[in-house]
Amino acid sequence: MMFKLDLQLFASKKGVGSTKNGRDSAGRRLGAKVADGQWCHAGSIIYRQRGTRIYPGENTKIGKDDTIFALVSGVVKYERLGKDRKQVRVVADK
Amino acid sequence: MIKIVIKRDESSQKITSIEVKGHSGKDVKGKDLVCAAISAIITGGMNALSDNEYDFLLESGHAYIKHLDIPSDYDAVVLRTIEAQFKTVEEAEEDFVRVENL
Repeated sequence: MMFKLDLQLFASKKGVGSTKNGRDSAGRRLGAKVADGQWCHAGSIIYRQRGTRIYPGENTKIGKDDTIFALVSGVVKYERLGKDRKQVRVVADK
Repeated sequence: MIKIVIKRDESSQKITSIEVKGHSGKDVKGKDLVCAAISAIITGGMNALSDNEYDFLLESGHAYIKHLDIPSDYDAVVLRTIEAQFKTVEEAEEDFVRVENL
């Protein structure tokens, strides 16, 4: 035949590809749980983190998931540690 | 929307020109049944014509058959068949196909 058939000669819209992306995990709510200058109980969580963005200072300890918590009741203090690091400590009540 | 314009010779009332323009838009490329119907009708019709005095065009979104004079009786029947097939599709898919007689 002189003319070859293209069955989609008058189709317009291109097929829209699908994506294999589009999944994400829920937020882990990391970060400070007690602000600088705020009072906290002994044992309360001060900072949730992955790795040591903040280092444990006086009267605080770091858990196995890098969570920093208070060992004593008192006021929380965030400070610099050396040139480019930060630490958090608790000033115990008198 | 696919627009089909059909022109006739005044005296003989034979069809002298059929032009098809536009895109159906009913579905994505590769699944568009309206487009497939229209494509098959116009392409098959072109292959059925026997006279030599035609100007043809067959490309994406635009096709036409234009006789340079008055078609033979045989070709007039072929052209009327093409018109009837287009109107049949239009009847079923009026949101996507429009046939106009000028």
